[in-house]
Amino acid sequence: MIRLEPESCNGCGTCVKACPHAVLRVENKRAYLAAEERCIECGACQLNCHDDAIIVTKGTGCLAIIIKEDILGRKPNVQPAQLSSS
Amino acid sequence: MTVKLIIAIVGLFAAGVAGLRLAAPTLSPFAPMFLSLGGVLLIYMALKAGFYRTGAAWDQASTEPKAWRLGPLDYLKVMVSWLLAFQRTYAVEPGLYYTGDHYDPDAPLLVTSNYHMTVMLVVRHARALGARLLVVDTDGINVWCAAGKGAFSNAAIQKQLDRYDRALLTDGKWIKLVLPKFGLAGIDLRALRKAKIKPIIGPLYAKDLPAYLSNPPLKDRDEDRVHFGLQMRAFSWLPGFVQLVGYSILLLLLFAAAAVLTGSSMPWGVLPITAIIATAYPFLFPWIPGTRFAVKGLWLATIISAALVVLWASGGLLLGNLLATVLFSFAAAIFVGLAYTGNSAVSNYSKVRKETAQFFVPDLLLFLLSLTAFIITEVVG
Repeated sequence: MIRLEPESCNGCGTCVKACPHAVLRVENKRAYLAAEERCIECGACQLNCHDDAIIVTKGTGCLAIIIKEDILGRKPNVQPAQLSSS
Repeated sequence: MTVKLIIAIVGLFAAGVAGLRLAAPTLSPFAPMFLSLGGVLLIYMALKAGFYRTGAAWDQASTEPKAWRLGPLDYLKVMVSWLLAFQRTYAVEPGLYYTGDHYDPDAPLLVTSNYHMTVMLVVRHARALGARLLVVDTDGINVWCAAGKGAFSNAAIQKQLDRYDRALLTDGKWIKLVLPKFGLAGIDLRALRKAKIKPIIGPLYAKDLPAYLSNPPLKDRDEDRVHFGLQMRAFSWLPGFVQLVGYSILLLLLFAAAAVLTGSSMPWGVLPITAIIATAYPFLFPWIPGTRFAVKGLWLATIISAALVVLWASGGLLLGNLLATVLFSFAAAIFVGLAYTGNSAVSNYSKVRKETAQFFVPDLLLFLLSLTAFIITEVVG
């Protein structure tokens, strides 16, 4: 799910640049959902919106990951050094 | 580790059984199947031994950029990664690399993950332009998946940048980094700017790098969009097919066990049906009705079932076999559909979660029902 809080948007357009599916557009200094059906919920727009104007249910839409992490409750199998050492 | 051990034991056992059965062919008609299974598993185990293991501690002491030269082994590794559906296979030591004859501090600096296949693709497309590469530690997984899990991140980039003398990275105040657009789910652009890094949003696909790098000054690729065209789907067809063959082997073992126990024959017809679905699904993907992955599978199964009914009507199939094969077709098509969500750059998380909840357990039941129907048909005749 992706949701916009238009009143919080300052129209910077970073979300538009970050989106790999051209889901968002900016018009009259406000972002809007131009093609919501294309959103895959990767969260790139939300991460790069510093006005908290975008809310995304971020996740990976992949059967294997959903079974492992959401259903079986396993942690992501990723342990890069910068995370484990910090 | 336990899983690997089980696979190794099963592989050795299957190979041993096959050897024995081949020596005494009257004992079993399943010897070739066991032999194939054992062989495949042993080859997989041998390859697996050379794969990257999660959490590896890289030697990060070197502060000199390294040259990257493509060798035959790189192409072989790419082939293995491709056939194994882009799973975590080989990783590259994180750090600063250059692709030209010498290190050029003015050359574009591209950031990428340390999944070997990704590095290879970037190098292959960028080497003619002498680009530099900052390979960050993503635990051996690709940019897209690593960004989703927070491993392709500001911290990962900063960690690599901190290893090197600033003069190697920039002759000015800002370090210019060309980021893969696929990585932005893990990158906070504003935080990078605060760290005196100028992020430039590069292309989504490595194949677009030559045209992009040939047109300085480099600008953000605002309009780059994910394309899931025929070429992309064809590229992912074989790995998906190989993965399904793996699952089919497990399923065949189940059918073989049932056949041995009930004295029935093997329903070999499920193999071509699986192959047809596994091929038709990716190639016809945009044209199959529906937006949900499993629903597209249902449509495909309906078409196959209609063909099976025609076959039955012409006397080429028993009613029991028709029922069992139709059930199997639906089970396999739904499974192929759900498995296709592995192409997560085109699948929506919430929708796939919903589909998984709706279809996964019924799909397993369909497989069991089809197995039961095959056995009953054989026993009853």
